[in-house]
Amino acid sequence: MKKFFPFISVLLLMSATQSPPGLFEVRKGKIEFHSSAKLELIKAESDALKGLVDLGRKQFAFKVALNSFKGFNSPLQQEHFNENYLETETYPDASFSGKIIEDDDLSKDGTYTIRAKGNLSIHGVIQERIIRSTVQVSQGKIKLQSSFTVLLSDHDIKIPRIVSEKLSSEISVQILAELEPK
Amino acid sequence: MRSTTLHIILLLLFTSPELEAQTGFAQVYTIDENDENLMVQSLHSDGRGFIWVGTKDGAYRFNGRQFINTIPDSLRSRFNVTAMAKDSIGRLWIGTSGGQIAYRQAGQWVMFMPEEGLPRKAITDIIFDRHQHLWFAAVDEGVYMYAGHRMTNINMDDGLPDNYVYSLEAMPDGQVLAGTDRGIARILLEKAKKKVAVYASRDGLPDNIVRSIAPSSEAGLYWIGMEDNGIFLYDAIHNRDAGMRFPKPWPFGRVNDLMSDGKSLWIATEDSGLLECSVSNQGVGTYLNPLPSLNKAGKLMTDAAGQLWFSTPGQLVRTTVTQMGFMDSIGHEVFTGIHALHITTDRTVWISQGKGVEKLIQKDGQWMVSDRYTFPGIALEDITTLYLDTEGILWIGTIGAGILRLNTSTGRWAKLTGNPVTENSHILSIAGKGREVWISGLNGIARYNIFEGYGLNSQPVFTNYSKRSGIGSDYVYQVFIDSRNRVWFCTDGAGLACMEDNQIRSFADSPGLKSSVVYGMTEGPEGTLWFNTLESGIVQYDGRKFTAFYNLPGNQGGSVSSILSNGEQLAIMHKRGLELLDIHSGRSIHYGRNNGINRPQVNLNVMALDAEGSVWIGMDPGIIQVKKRDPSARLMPVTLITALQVYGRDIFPMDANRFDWSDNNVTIRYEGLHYPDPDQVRFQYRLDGYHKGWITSSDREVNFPRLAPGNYRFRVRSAADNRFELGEEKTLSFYIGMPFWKTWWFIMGSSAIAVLLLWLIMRQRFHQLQQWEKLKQDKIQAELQTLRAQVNPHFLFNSFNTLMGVLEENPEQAMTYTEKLSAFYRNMLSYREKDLIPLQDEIKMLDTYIYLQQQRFGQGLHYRMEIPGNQQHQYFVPPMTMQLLAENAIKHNTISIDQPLQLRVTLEGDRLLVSNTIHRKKHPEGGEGVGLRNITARYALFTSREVAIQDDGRHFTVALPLINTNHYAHPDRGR
Repeated sequence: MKKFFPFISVLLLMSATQSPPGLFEVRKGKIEFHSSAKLELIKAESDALKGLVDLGRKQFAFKVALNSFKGFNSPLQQEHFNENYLETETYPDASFSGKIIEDDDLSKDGTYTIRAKGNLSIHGVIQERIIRSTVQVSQGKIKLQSSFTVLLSDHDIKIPRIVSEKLSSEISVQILAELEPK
Repeated sequence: MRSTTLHIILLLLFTSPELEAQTGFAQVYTIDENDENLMVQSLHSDGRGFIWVGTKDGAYRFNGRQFINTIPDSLRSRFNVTAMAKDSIGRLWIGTSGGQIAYRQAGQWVMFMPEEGLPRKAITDIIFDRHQHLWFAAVDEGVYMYAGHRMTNINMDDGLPDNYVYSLEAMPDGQVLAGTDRGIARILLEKAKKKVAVYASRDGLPDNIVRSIAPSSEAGLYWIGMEDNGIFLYDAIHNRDAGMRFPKPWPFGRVNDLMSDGKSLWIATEDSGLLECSVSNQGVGTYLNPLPSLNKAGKLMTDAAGQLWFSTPGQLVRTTVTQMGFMDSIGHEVFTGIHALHITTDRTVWISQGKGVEKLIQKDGQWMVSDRYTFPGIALEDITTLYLDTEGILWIGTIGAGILRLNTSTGRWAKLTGNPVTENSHILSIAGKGREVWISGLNGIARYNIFEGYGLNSQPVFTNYSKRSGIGSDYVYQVFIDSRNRVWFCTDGAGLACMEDNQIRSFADSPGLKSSVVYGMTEGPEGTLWFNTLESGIVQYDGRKFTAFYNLPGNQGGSVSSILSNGEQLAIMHKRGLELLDIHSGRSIHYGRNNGINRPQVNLNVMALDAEGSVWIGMDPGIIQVKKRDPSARLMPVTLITALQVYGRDIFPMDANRFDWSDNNVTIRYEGLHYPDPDQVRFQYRLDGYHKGWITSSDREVNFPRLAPGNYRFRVRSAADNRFELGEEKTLSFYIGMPFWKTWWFIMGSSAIAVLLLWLIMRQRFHQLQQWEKLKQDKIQAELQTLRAQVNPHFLFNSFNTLMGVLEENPEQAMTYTEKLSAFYRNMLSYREKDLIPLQDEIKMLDTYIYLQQQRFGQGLHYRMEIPGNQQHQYFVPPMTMQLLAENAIKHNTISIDQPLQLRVTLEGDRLLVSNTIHRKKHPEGGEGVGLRNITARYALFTSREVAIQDDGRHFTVALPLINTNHYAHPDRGR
């Protein structure tokens, strides 16, 4: 199931060497998540979202380093996040790569609702997901907005029973990114 | 193979007050493995009728009672089964998440291994096209087709819109449809040329992600299930929208699977479970949810009995929604018990729950109560029957208040007066046709003639009939008008009567209709009439004769409350449920607790037929609609022989085996697949060659521990209604061989050997007898010879000469000599009789003999006896052997003082050595060797040890074997 990582590398490599038309890169990327549990609200955000979108081939790849998340309620919460739940030393990144389903011509200005289908990798576990996003294209720039939920059980993220009441089994994720041609 | 615990949950899913659709019955099965409910990922039936379930831990075979994993424990993690298919010869195929494909043959999984290899990606679907070529789809690799040992891949390079394919569907013309992430692809493979036509969202497809494809009832049109926007009808021949209109919006989530049964489309959805919608030229009807408590549905399947199955997380669901609908309440009103039910041609349902009357109508698939009527001021105990006449007047039969009539357009009602038969009486049934309305009850029969435009105020003309009119009884359960306008009366006490052309004829004494109580009747196909009787069960009348046709299992007379025919089947309502009896085949299926019918109603007038052939039954609680059965749907169990074992070892293939005589412990397993109600199935089996008749059993296995050699044929049949003779029979022949000692060649061969052996033994015996005879003769010869020797005139002459010499020298010694001589002769005569004598006796005899000879030869004869006295007791010798040897020595050698004859007797081991020095006479006497031969032959009679003769030129030694007393217990054995 590691087959998708080479694809990401290929895209990143392409970005380094040549810039074919229709290839966009994340210039400003923000990702945040929150979980509303019975007792404790956990939320954090990161500005380290990286990614590429190939409008010609309708493919994309996004990646974020998990230890870049900040804004936890407490340093202890951040420590649990990194060490206990997501094991960021073993699985440093979360990534989502795949294809755009819709036939819309995204090179024209406008606002589109598209679905991105691909493999979401968190905590080393890959899930096939279809994620809906809003794409706003204007003057050669793309604004991307997306929100989705992640089930902890889908990614084999185990919550100790003691804190299971504090943590919801479902995490909401929001993404806001601005892309410019590479 | 391992079986898992089966948890069955019976769900009768009542509508919530807000919902007014019919609900269905569902039975839920879970596959528990290591405390985990396995997800059903794929679902299929094989050619034999088994249901197969693909899970992440392998493929399970389900017989209605247990799930058996057919993948060995060690391989399960590699068999995450994601796809299933059935080929033209009924074999089941599976595809796994790892890209493996296997098929089931002779109880084993055989891996499908094409030369090109298989993709390493998850298999999402497998199908077989018109030519029975294998097609499959693998994640991100497009579509593969395998034919003639060659595999062809169709992917985006060939025009496939996307390499992610969810489902495949074979078209009758050989093309294949593929549902992808970017629309529908129609694939044509012709002489290695790939032609792909695409229909996607830019062409009008509501959603690009096509999850499922299913054929519709119209050729060339396919139902498409999508990720987000519901369903769509695709014209595959013209690659365009078929123009079907669909209700909007679609809030039910992803469409996981689709199935069309002609009348309805069944949709498995991610967010709302199973949906049903009607399909017509006008479009698709409202989406109804008959099983609201199951809010997720995965794969769909129908079984041989026409039942629908689907997967829901952690469960497998069997449902009768395609066959039955339940309506237990509408809005806030729960139907506690239906006492009377009438249905009109426009499918308006009139019901009574005892006191009032309600009108139920259907709108957009949803039911509602449109009108309610009560009858204040009327002293009625119960409402028993309803009938709507041609003028819109509802006739209401009551217990205690006679007939009430209700004008259904104005809502006004009135009691029917003016006729003693119907006024304030007990009414049991109302029937009508055209302008006639017939009423029966406990006061006889009344016929009313109505006319166009009549109403509650006009008094219809009536005619009464009673037992004196020829009906025979005034208690009439049912009055019935048949298709030939005959009026039938089902009575209590006088059986059946019929009025034709105003003539009433009683069938009370008809042969075949023994019962005097007939509860009710219905008309079947081709004008046949069917009666529900107390004593004869269900009776058929074909216009000429009455035939008892059916009895409930267990022969519960009188427990049938009502019967109704829909033209093909007979619905039989009784205390334990509903039987659906197929009139043509005589087979029936039972619907009881296991199919949602818990408390059947026993009222008389609660069954009615609608225009579509559905039977409506008023129950307690609720109403059931039993849809007309698909005639191809099975009523009987599928009988299967599933295993043949010899001493616990599985034998494949199963039929026509030849076993060794020792392989005679045979176990046979069989199955009666009857998913509607597996616990009802019973079996009859027999082993021809062993059993004389059928054996009835509920077991699914039989063991024959010690079968004699011979030909056997095992026969088994199954039934859920005990009517085994109608069930299909499966057979299995085998042969148990003769043991080798019973085969003709062995018997012939061994007899020949036995004859040969007997002949050899006889010949041996004959030889032995001859030998014995010879020996006996030799012995006689020896005795004669000894005797002859002893009476040898020379011996006597010599003896007398010696005696004379002794007499002169020593007369006293002569006395002794004479005594010894006479003792010698006496002993000789007595020992002659015996075979053996003690050694000491022989020694004494020899001593005597030597003494006699020493008197003659004096110092010329030296004699030394060197056997210790104690040794002399335990041995035996044949008599006069040593004497004979001594005599020989004397006879053959010269004896003088210069050359004395030295005779010595010693013991060496268990041999007696008699030796003498050799000085041969110049002129030897005759008879040489006779004595020795004699001795040797005599010894041979007693011992196998030989008499050894040694002649070294100086000494002549004869070794005589000594015969031990222990070995020879009866030395004195007579001859």
